[in-house]
Amino acid sequence: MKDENIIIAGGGHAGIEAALAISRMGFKATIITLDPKALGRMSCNPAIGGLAKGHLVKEIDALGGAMGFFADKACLQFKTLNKSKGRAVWSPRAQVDKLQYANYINNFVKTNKNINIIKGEVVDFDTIRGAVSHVILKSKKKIKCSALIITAGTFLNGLIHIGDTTFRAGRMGEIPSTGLTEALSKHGFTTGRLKTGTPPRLLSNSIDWSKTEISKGEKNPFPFSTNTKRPFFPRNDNCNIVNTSTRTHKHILKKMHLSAMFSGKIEGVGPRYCPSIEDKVFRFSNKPFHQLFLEPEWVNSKQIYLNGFSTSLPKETQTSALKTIPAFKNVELIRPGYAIEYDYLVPSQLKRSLESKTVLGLFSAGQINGTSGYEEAAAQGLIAGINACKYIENKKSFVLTRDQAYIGVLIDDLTTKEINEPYRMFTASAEHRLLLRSDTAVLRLSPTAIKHNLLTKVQASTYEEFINNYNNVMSILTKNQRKQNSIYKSILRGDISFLDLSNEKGFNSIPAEVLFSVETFIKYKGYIIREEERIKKTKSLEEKIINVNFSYNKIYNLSNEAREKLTRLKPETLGQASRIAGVNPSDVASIAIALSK
Amino acid sequence: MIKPLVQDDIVALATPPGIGAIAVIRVSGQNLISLYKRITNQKTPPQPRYVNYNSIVDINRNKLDNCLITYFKGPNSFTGEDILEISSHGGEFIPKAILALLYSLKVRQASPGEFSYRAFINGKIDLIQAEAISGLISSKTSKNAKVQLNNLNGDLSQSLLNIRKEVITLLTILEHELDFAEDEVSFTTTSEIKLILNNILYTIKNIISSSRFGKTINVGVRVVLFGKPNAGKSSLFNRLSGSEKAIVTNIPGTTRDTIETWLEISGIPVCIIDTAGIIESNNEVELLGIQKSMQEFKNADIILLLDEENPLNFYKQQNMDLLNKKIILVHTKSDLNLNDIKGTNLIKISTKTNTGIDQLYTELSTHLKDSLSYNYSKDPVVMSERQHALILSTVGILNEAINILNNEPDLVLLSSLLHEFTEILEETLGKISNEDIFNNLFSSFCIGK
Ligand SMILES: Cc1cc2nc3c(=O)[nH]c(=O)nc-3n(C[C@H](O)[C@H](O)[C@H](O)COP(=O)(O)OP(=O)(O)OC[C@H]3O[C@@H](n4cnc5c(N)ncnc54)[C@H](O)[C@@H]3O)c2cc1C
Ligand SMILES: Nc1nc2c(ncn2[C@@H]2O[C@H](COP(=O)(O)OP(=O)(O)OP(=O)(O)O)[C@@H](O)[C@H]2O)c(=O)[nH]1
Ligand SMILES: [Mg+2]
Repeated sequence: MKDENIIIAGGGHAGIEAALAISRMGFKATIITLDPKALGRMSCNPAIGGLAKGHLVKEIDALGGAMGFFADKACLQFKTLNKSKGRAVWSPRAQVDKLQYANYINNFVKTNKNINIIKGEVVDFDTIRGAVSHVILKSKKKIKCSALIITAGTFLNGLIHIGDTTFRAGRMGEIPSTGLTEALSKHGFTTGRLKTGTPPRLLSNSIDWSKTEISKGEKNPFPFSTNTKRPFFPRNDNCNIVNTSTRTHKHILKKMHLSAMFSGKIEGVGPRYCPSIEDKVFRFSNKPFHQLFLEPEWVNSKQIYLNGFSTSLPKETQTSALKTIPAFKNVELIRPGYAIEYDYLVPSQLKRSLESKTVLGLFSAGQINGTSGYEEAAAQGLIAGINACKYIENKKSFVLTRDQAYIGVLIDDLTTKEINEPYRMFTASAEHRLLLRSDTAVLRLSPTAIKHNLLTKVQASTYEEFINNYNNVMSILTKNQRKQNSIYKSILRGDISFLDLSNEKGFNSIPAEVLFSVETFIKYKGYIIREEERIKKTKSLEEKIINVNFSYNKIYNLSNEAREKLTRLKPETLGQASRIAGVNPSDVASIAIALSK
Repeated sequence: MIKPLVQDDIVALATPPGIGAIAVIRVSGQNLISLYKRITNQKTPPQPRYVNYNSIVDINRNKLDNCLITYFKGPNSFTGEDILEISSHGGEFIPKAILALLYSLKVRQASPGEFSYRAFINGKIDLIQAEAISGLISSKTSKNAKVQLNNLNGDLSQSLLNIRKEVITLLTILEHELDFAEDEVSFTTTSEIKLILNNILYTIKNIISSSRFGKTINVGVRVVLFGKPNAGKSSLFNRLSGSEKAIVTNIPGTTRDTIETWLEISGIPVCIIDTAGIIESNNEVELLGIQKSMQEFKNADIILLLDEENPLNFYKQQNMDLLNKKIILVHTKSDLNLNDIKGTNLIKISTKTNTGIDQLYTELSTHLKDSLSYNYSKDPVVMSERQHALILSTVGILNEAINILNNEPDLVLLSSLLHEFTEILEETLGKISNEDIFNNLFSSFCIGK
């Protein structure tokens, strides 16, 4: 066992995946967190996955991460979203028992010999010769470390707003983290302020369930994780739906001035894509109703999460607005919805390994990097964990590219784009969706994971089996492809699907997911080849490395805007440079020529 | 290989050397005010966009010439840098002396195409416009120049940008639909999308159909004189070109090597090519000549088939009816009245008496005008092979996209195709994925532009 110590500040989804990745690679991790009992807590909605996020969970799993496996275990209902669109955007989503999920994670992490957990608050760090050497706790204690990963989530100077009430908190019921932002600024980092919100939790038996619609889950879903035991029969609890009405909207509009977000009290920028109910009513004023989902937070939960009603109105207004909905005539809130403002670290200060461009051995991952969501956080934690090990081993960092994984897209975006609202994963952010399907996560990533020693032995052999099965089926089908009435042709014509395939001779022991992947590939093949051609075209651009210290002042042809942004954002490749807003083709040409000299 | 990223000043003579009453010398660089002051011995900087009347002095402050100097201040100039345009007196001596003075002041002689290259690199023009400059310089006819000028003004670029904008709007809608399952947006129907795509396809096809026209006026038309030995090919060649370039004798097999000459007919550059007569032969030199004739025959746009007896017989012998080429049958030596054949699709000529030559011109120009029916003053014109190939490849993509909408519409596939489509348009306009493309383009320019 190597005795270098990697410290992780924060025990949220990012921190946990980082610690587990480090442990799988044979290193030791110490999680320092404000509240060890809150390890892996889901701060907001009781669900994992969803549009594009489901893809992230599959990728995390293919790289050895834990999120998918425990979401499978704690699942209350499974659903594939976007089923009416194309297969490439089918996204698995699980309704999850929040308590169980956190419990599983807790046990798993706490029984891991390579992971040590300390209660404490990280407020600063020391460096020696430009590299992180110690973390400093609020208690003034200093702990030596070889690398530091900061995963502080929404906690940095967290400020909760409910109507005109404000108070400091990391999230509801937890103390915020103070001092770390200031320390980061002192070390030369730029930080900013963002905002996010969460809906109220309703008391289950105050709801008239007969006035709600039922929303059922999927009967035979594929689990997130390749490691989850088959056959997979998760719980399939119902969820419920209600609609708001124009009465609700009128009520909210009347009280709009009371909302913390509209009264101008919040300076942090919130996400446009996940608007609060105030926002929705205001911005889509001609829409007669909005759908709200009633999601149980755990099995037989008395506490119902009201998805779609994120708000920072005062508690009384939240209640009175909800009472305009028949099912909520007598509704009682266990906890009102609230908005939270927090500091984030401007992520363009990071390399694609998630290591700082200026301080060696300092990494950051998760919501602190300006993202939002468990999956986005977990994905970054995993990559930061892996690269902290690579850093200690003095090896080349582990970078996923945009044509390899959504994780690659996520991190490339974070490190080149200017974030001005919480960043959430979208499928539209990926140029090569047809390749980055959720069913190809293992095929795409596990071979690399094995090569980089990121997996446990058991994981590696499970994934290899999946890949071997896939290759075998594919080679059998393509060998006979040209024959009349070949299975290959029937799949192309849409006469048979993966479900029929398992009835074919020799295929009955092959897992349905493998057959699904095979079928999808055959159907998409022509288009997949086109996308691969497109990737080849820009390959030389993507692979052209720009040194972090490259001086753009040498290139006098650059427009001022391009020069300013390139100097500030320090892209790592020419491809990244070309994606920066304000950098034009002629600028890219200039850099290309300067580099080729 | 161009190395324009050094921060230096470049100069070139923009008018043909030697002849002419005036010569224009062009200088481009980051800051030319001190250079201006130095060569004019002035204390005040030149006023931008004004013609300054100055004397130019040499190293020893001796007057070289009185010149008109126009100063363009970067970035508001052709290259995006400072530019000095010096109009001096022409002739051998003065322009050379001014250039020598500038060289001695560390102004470098520009590489071919370097002015345009700098304009491109500084974002003043896109690749299509750069190609138009290259075309403008080498254009042989007024029509060509007019179209290249339109493209330099950005006509083709603008149409492509408009199409791109439309597709991006469509993509935004599609992406929204894919990423916001149960959201607040009302979605475009497939029939609406199909309508938009069909419109774009129509526009693209129009642009492509302009490329034949573009090629015609850009590259010109090859007219090959073809026939048996002694048919009178070289005589006609001399008549058409108004020269005695081709040797004429009564010995069959006189012409061995092909000879070319350029004419302008109806505004179109036409290359007339005289070839060796076709005959069975054992003579090695003659055989080589015949091989060359066949090569020209293949590359020809129009063939003039000459024969003194009956061109139709030769036509049939050689199975020319199977060829997909314009062939004009020419019965030669009509003054000799060797064979009085009748036929409407036949032109009788005599180079001795000059009969039928006008008719031949008319026939040629009718055919050329057909390929010029394109309304170039209104519509954008594809001028280069590179542009043509790229734009042509978008047709397949659009058809495929429409096809998807006709079957089970998979929006992800649709979006993938539309992304490919926009990337090709961007490549046409000069978004690079390959730096070699423009190195080649710019080094083929002449120096002054
Ligand atoms: C109110 C609210 C609403 C949200 N709404 C949404 C939503 O609508 N959609 C969505 O996708 N996501 C939402 N989220 C985001 C989601 O919860 C987070 O993205 C995700 O949990 C981030 O994971 P993380 O690991 O980065 O940080 P967190 O899960 O926040 O964990 C941070 C961890 O760091 C610890 N910590 C913080 N500072 C220190 C310190 N100085 N020293 C030691 N330990 C420290 C904390 O104790 C905690 O364990 C919301 C979160 C909140 C709080
Ligand atoms: N009377 C008359 N003689 C002509 C005419 N055109 C060409 N000739 C004669 O025909 C002979 C051959 O003419 P060329 O022009 O050399 O024929 P060609 O087809 O080029 O012959 P090769 O080069 O040998 O293939 C010469 O003696 C010409 O003077 C014509 O219109 N009238
Ligand atoms: Mg001849």
